[in-house]
Amino acid sequence: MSALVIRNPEAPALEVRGLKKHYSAIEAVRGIDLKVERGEIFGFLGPNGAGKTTTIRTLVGLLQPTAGDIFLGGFSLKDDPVEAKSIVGFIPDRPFLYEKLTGREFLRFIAGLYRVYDDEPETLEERIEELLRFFQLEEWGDELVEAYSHGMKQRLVMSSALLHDPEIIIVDEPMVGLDPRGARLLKNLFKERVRGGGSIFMSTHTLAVAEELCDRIAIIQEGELIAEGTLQELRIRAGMGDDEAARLEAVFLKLTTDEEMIDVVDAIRG
Amino acid sequence: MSTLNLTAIANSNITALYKKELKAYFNSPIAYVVMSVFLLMAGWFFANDLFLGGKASLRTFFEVGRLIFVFFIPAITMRLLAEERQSGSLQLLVTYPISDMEIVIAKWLAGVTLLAATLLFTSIYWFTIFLLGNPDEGAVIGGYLGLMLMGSAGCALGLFASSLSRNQIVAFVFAFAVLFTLFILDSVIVFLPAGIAGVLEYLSLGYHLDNLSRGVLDSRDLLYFLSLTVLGLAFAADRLADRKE
Repeated sequence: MSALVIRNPEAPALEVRGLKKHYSAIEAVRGIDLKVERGEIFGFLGPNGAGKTTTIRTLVGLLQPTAGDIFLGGFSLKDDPVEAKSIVGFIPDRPFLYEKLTGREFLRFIAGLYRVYDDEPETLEERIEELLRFFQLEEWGDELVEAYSHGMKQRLVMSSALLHDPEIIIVDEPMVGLDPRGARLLKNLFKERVRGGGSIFMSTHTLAVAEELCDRIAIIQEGELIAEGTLQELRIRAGMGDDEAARLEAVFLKLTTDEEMIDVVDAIRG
Repeated sequence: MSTLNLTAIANSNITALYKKELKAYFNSPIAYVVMSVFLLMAGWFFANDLFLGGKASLRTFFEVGRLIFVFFIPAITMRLLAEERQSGSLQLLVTYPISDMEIVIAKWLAGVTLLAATLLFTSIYWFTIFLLGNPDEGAVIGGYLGLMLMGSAGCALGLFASSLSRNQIVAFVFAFAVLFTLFILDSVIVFLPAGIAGVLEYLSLGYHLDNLSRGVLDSRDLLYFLSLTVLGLAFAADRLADRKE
């Protein structure tokens, strides 16, 4: 993959200040602050209905926040949305694509929207082939997207999210629809991106993936951040600081579930 | 209207979406069906005038053309945003570095280009009457300009209709209702008091198209079509932004 250019290296990759999102009377997100540094994989966890999806949709410009500010690579999403979005690669959990385009046509279209390789058509084609090869879609590149399986569509979205070498990748449930080989491919890719100075903001229910990949993790519950830090910091926050073997799952359950529910879960597990 | 600066458009990411929309038109039957129907109907009226009426004129073509456009425009604009909403692709599109107004302009330009391509096929009528007779050049140019301006305003209003729903039929019906109302306004004013009639006459498509098809280029007519176009685009962009609320 090609080298990453960071436009505002002094600014954090992602910064959220006082983010609130209300739907009529429902307060989906109740004022969260977080910061993703350069070269970091940041995990965003929470139970169902905690506000994860709303937060992600707000970060990528799908929803307008009720209050608060979002900065992507130092660019305000409110004041400078096109610049802010130009440094992001978004991988949604459900890959809604243009079914009547082929894989290669779709990637060319995305390159046009990001205005990358405008004057270098040959380089663009090389980049497209590189991505299709990496995501094992090379043979399917001239087929219409409507013929793709869910996993292939997901991989095509990932290719499109990487096409412009984004400074930050925002990804919602990255492993959905991927087979074990695809999942391993993606994990390696994420590690490679952060080694090159990129950053990943990842929302997931797959705690094992978060535990394996994330440098820092935030947990949201009922629209509020209830914990943020490294796994060890979360262990301490959950009162499990002495137990260095405590897995993220146990920490997560401890932080997000009341004591009675933990007893029930333990009883079921035997 | 800096958003309509042509140089800025050519150099912007509008071009990528515009090309995709044009490809979508020509990769589906809709462009071919609608163009064929338009050319068949317009051709019949033109040939009727030429061979049966013995008139080397485009007057009937321009008069019938505007009525066909009332059906034709909603048919080509109904899918522009409604289909994106229906398929979910709009959710991905708005996360790319392209503003709501740029999305609207790219799609509007694609619709206008399809209309222009359709009208280009009718240039054979123009050549025919210039070969056979001595038509009023001003009226011919004015007639074409009128159809293009109507097409431009109609595409903007149709795009707004398409932004209202994920259902393409609803988009078609809404756009048709708006265009048909504007089309018949000058026919109903005879029943109304003079004050209201004057306002409605100015709002009607026919009043401005009649001026143009006589070869009269009046800034008020241009302003009318420009206003409808800008209003349609602005409302469509506003509806697109509404998804965020």
